[in-house]
Amino acid sequence: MAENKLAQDDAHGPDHALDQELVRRVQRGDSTAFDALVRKYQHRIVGLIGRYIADWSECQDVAQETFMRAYRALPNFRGDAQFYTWLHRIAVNTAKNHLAAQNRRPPTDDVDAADAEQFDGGIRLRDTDTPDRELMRQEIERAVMETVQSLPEELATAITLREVEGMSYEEIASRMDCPIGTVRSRIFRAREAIDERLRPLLDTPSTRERGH
Amino acid sequence: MPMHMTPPNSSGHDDREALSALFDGELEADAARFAHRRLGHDPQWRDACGRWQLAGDVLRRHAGRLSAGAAPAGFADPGFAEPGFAERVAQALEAESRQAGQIAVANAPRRRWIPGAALAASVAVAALFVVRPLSEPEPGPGLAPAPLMASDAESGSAGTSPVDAPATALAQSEDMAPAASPSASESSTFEPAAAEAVMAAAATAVAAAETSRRSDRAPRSLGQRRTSRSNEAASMTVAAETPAVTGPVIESVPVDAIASLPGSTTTPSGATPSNPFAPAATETDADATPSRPWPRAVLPGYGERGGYAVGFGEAVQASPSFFPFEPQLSGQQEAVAAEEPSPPPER
Repeated sequence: MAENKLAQDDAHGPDHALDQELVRRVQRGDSTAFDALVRKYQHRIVGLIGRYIADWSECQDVAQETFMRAYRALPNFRGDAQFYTWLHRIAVNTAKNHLAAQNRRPPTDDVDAADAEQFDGGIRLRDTDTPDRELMRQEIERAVMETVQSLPEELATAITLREVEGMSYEEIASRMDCPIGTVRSRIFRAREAIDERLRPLLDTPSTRERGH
Repeated sequence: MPMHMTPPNSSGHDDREALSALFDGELEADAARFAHRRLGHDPQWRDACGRWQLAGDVLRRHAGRLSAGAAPAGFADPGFAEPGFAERVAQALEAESRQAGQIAVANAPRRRWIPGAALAASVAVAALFVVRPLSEPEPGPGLAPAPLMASDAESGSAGTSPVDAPATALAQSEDMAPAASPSASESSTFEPAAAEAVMAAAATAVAAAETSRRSDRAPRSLGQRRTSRSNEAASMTVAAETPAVTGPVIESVPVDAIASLPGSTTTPSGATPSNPFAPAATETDADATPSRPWPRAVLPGYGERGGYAVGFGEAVQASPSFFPFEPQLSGQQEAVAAEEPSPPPER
């Protein structure tokens, strides 16, 4: 299950150019390029690992370990697969290894031995997040959806065609009968509007100090 | 876009629009390079990319987009990382690299001793030339005292430091040692070969200088002396590539005896494995470029009688101090040419 290529990996061909260039820069020793990759996929990886690991803190730790393993292995990454596909496999293996290591430890109150049988199937575990974190998750989803629904039609259409359908700027321009530059501007404005709602929810104190 | 909707910072607006295009892989080459550079040093840009990715995941999840045979429903859950997650990853990686660096530093000294050993070997060779003349016997009759480098040379001791001699030999050895050191860092077996190469180079340099001095029987100008020095350096560079010469060969054979051996064959470097002091085969009296003579104390077998000074082969007079450009003194040239060095004492 978790090893299958995701639809968005196929649909978003052009945006992998960013990942490829960032990987190249990391392999040349640019640590900020890896930071960009971490920030780009941190939420997705945490969400993925959350299907294997119920505990929120453990989920964050395993996600951190995932990125560290990816960093160590990046010099050997040849680009045969998309970067996120490769990262996805690392995340799944790291989560499974973490759970296997847990099984070797004495049982604790947090880990139910019966649940271990479900790990290989990748079935999402019961979410034992705290109410606050669950609330945060819902708030994030709501912020995104409400913002898109409140956008002007041309902006909502452009961002939906781009993010959901995975169309290129040229295809969107053809669909919407407008220049590519207009498509580029509309997508950007939609993202900025969504960002205005998301930023307060996700900012760290250091990010706020940088002038957000 | 209507003018009233233009953001106050249009330049920043345009830049972030470029970031949005870069995020989608729709930015041209030159603009993409600039945007990547900005992405590398602007953490706000990197944060924006993370939020845009999250927003896209939320949209896709709600749209129910799944590839064929992919995860069950709900797979693309928009989990979110805690604030500061990326910073923690960066700190962990930095700590890991710091730890790896400390380990590398701990291992480094094991390799650093190799060039140091080569340098120590060159110093030992230079010290050898300094120490040996002190124990050599008095020159035989008919041999005029050679010019000395220090005022106490006439008293029979060559012990006053011929400062230039070992320093020159050491410098020349050091010149060759660094050339060999890059390979030393690559191989742990370099060290013995480096010491031998240094000794061979020093011996060959002595032989080359000796030969050129013998052939030069006319006063030389400053320019000629400089030319001779450059030739000596060139011969020493070639000498560094010669096969190693064992220590005993250098110590036991008098310079003059070897240099005067007729028909002595030489390698292109000017020394044979058994006769390091033999003159270069290509060098003839007529073609020899006048070279600066070696100080007395550098040469084995001269001890108190002193080494060669400027204008060896001509009559030279002992001078109270060693001065390479000291003018030639008549009456001593034949005496110096006729003198026969006694064999060096056993160590």
